[in-house]
Amino acid sequence: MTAVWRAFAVAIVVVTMCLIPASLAVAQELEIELFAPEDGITGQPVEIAAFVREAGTGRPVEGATVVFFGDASFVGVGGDIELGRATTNEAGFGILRPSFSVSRVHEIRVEMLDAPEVAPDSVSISVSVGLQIIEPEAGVSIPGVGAWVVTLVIAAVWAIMIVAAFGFVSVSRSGKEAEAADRDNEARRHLIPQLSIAPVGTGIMVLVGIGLVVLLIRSPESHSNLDPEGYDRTAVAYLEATYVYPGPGHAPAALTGDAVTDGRVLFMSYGCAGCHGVDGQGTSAARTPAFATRSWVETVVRAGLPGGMPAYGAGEVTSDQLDLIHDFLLAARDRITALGGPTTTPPVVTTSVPTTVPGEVPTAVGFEEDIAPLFNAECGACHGSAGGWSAATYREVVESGDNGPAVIPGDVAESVLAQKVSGTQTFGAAMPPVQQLPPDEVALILAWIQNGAPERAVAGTGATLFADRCAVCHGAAGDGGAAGPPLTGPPLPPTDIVSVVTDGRGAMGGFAASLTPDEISQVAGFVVTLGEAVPGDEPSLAGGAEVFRLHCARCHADDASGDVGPALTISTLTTDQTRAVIADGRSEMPAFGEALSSDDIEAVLLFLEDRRASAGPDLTAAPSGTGVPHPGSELYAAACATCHGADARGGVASGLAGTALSANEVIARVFGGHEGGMPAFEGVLAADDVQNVASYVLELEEEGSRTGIPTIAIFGLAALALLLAAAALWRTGWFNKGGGRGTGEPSNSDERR
Amino acid sequence: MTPWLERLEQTTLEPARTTTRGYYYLVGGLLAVIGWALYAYYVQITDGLVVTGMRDRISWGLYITLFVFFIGISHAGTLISAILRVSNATWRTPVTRMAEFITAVALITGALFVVVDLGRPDRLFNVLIHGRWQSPIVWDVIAITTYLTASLVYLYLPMIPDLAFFRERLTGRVPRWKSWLYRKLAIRWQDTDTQKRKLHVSISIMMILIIPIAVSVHTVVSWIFAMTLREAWNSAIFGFFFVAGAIFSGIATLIIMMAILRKVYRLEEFVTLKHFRYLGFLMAAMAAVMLYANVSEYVTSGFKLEEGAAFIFRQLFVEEFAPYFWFYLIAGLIIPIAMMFTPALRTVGGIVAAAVLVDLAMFVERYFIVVTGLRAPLLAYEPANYAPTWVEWSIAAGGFAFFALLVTLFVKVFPIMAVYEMKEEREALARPRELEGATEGSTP
Repeated sequence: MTAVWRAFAVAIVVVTMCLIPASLAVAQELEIELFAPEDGITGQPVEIAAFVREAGTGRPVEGATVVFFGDASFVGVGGDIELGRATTNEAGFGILRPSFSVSRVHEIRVEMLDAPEVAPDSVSISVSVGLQIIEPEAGVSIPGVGAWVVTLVIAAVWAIMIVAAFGFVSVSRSGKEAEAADRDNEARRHLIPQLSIAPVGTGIMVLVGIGLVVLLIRSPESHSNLDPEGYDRTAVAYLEATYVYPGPGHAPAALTGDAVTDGRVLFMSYGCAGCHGVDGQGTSAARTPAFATRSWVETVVRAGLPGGMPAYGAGEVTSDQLDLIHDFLLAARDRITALGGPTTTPPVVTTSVPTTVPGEVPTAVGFEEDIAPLFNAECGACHGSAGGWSAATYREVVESGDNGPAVIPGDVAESVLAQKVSGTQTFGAAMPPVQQLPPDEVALILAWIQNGAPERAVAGTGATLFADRCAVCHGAAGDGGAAGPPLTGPPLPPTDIVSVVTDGRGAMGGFAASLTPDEISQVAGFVVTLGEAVPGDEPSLAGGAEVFRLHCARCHADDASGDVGPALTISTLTTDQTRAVIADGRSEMPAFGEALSSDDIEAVLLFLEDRRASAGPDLTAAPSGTGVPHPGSELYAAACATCHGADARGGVASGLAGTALSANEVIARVFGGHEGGMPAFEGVLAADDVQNVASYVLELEEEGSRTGIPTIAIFGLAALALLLAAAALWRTGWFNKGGGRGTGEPSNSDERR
Repeated sequence: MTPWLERLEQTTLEPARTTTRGYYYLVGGLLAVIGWALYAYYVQITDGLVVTGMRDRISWGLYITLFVFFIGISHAGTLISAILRVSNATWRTPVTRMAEFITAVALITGALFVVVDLGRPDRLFNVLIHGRWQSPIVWDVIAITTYLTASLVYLYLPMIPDLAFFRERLTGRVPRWKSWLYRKLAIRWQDTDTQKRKLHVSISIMMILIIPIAVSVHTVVSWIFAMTLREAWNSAIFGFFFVAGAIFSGIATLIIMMAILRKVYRLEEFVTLKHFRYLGFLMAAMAAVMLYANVSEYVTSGFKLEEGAAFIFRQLFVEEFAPYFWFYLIAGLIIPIAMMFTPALRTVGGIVAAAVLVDLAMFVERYFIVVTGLRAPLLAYEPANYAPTWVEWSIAAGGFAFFALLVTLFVKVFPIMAVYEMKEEREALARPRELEGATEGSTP
């Protein structure tokens, strides 16, 4: 018995001893210390390291996430901004390399993520102004020609003029001598020496001349903005050194010999930076090219890519220049990685057939439905024929390929296609070479291969087919979805449904290629069950309201006041025209001629009439002079005055006061826009508002013309007056020869020169 | 002193000595017009430029038209005083003083119109303080200042002997301020050989220097337009075109001024039909040059009809501005040439009528250059229209009145004829005859 108790006690002690370190480990305290340089330069990365260690032992902690904060203020509002996060490495350091664009003392603080009990640490970095980023130099540079040449020319002109003007002074001085020789000196003595006009005038001239020259000397330096003291720009990108960027399209003149610098010059000069970013980091317009191989760069640059990448022939960008560009891109890789990886989003490529619901890998993946559009978008640019594998048709996808069949149905591991897209290929490069496909697309491809790479998805019943293919647009229960109208209204005849599904209608594509006729009829049968019959034979207002609600309200709102589609309570169309619009559609409105019976259309027309009657315009009742501001005046001021003038006399657009247009014309122009730049206010203004504005405009009267007498009248009158005066003077003989003090002496005019 | 010289001196002294009532009426009338223009300017300063017809699309109008017009007129002096002096055309002497003064006054008036065009005239100094030499407007400021200074110098230098003449003859007979003025401005001219030599040197320097300055001024004014990319202004020949137009309108203005002053101050003996004819021929020659420039510009751009050019042509030749353009072309260029070729019309009256047409046509031409250039839309919007308002017309009238007032005042104070030069020229002509002996019996 005691042996058992002894063993039991030992076990308890052992277990407890094992538990203690574990609990101790859980309760271990952590400390953070922040290391950063004292100084920094704007635009250059500063390495900040946060060291996380256990408090007691000082052992580094790996895998902890630390958050770095910097101080910031803007227009009087201050606070901390998160500079970034880092995970500590095995040495316990979490490193961030931010760069600062403002030259001041930055307060950096680090905290542990989700661990407020760990005391944060902070440090100050004094950032000073760094190198100017780009020295722009546009145009042709002629050595020695600058503002100085113009300055010298103008200074020379003024100097010559002043020399000539000093003639005043010398004339005056020699005259003074002559005068002094003529008369006695005691004639004039003045206490204050008289200022002769000559020195004064010349002095003024000199001052004006100097002032002009100073103006010239001063201007270029103080306003050139090329290298101002203490001024740093918010940079788009940072360079290690200044360089000369001659401007887009200009031949790069100054290649320094350093491959990376020259590569960047070329990268910018040929316009690559415009889409790919100054650092090659990629933008929303184009992916980053920094991770591409040299041969891939050459391929893409020479051939272009769909989506906007142009092709550059060998005469435009030489192979040597591509070497330099590639060197620059290689150097850019580290920087891009340090910034957190490529910052691109692949350009959005729209497909005509909607893919499956995103986020879910469907159980039935068919080539036609799911894989073909994906291949079109991502692979088709090169794999018309690259590597002997074509992505164009099902047969070619499965059977072609220089290195054996790309797809082995059911075998993901051995299918070359699967290997390539997942990066596990045994030869060549991963596909696509620039950047791997998003994970869900890769999964889709693998699922397709796994399921036997069928050409069409496995057939299902009408309901499952509807859920798979139709619900995306028409809603899971067929009551309308993102892109498709509800199918729950009065059902079409089944044959009509079949033809719509087969051939499509409006924005809906046909499914003839992707569904078998059996499947289509199953779907049609299902759709019929979704609809409900509307009672009543005669078109009635209630029926019309119902039809409207089912078919029209999603665009025009339940009460016809307009939503996506325009308001229908006010319209310039006649009943016949309205009927035609409903039947045949107009611009984005689909045609309902087949979906609605003629009875239904009549019912809708009744409904619209009723709506117009109750909410229609009454332009004759515009109040004027009652002291109550017109309801349209505020609206006018808000929406129309910017172009048509606050007083409706015109401005950028024509004046509206005293317009000769009819009410309907005004309304039609407000709704639908007008040539010359008037936008359509359909959908922007409600029907009531349009009515108010229209009546306001119509009651504005035209006052006198703003600018008065037409110019040509003034010119004509002036010319006429002058001519009449000249004619009258001529008649009086006032201009003829005569007068003067003739004394018999021959006058100038008699002598021939 | 010969009777001719006696008559010349009397004629020249007369305006400075006596003042008729008509003079006071004229000055009063001009001051009234200027007063009304000042009121209009006050309205513009307080209410802003909205009181003019200028808006965001057509932002230059009558003011800039008049600025260019007056700067253009200022080239009259350069042509007569400098170019004709350099080429030793002795017939110019009776008219040089008037021409030089028109230059200075026109420059001042033109510069004033630029200030009037500013809605915030206090910002004028920003051009000096913050000017960038890359700007055509700064070039304009520099060129016009240089030209104004040069033309004032060039006006004053040859006037020194005449002012000395006034000083000798008028001291005591005119109000004291005038006596003082003549004495000061004559800077001790005693007609010594030293002085004559020094004056001659200065005048020679100036007469050569002022020609490139004058050419540069109106070229730079034209570059205010031609350095833009507006379709109607984007022409390489604008510099030449404007300089030719400036000389053209300058001659016309000079003819008109001469005719008026000749009639009022009875200068018929000295400013004769010959002067009018010579100036008229020069004017017709410049009209031919302008015609050629217009043809060159419109044929060249019309043949190609680059984007936007069709609009310019349409509005200029057939639509809104057709009356202006065809008036300018026919009445301003073709008719004066025709008139100068018609002997019956080569009278003083006919030549003055031609000059009036030319001045009117050049004003119209400046107007439609400014407005058509701005009217062509830069984007797809409706072309705007411009019509000057009463404020602009009032200030325009005030500008013309200011110009006339300055001329009127000048004639009252300063010697209207270049007596010294005319005397020199006549003596130079008479001397060879003396040398040839008295056999011809002509009196010097």
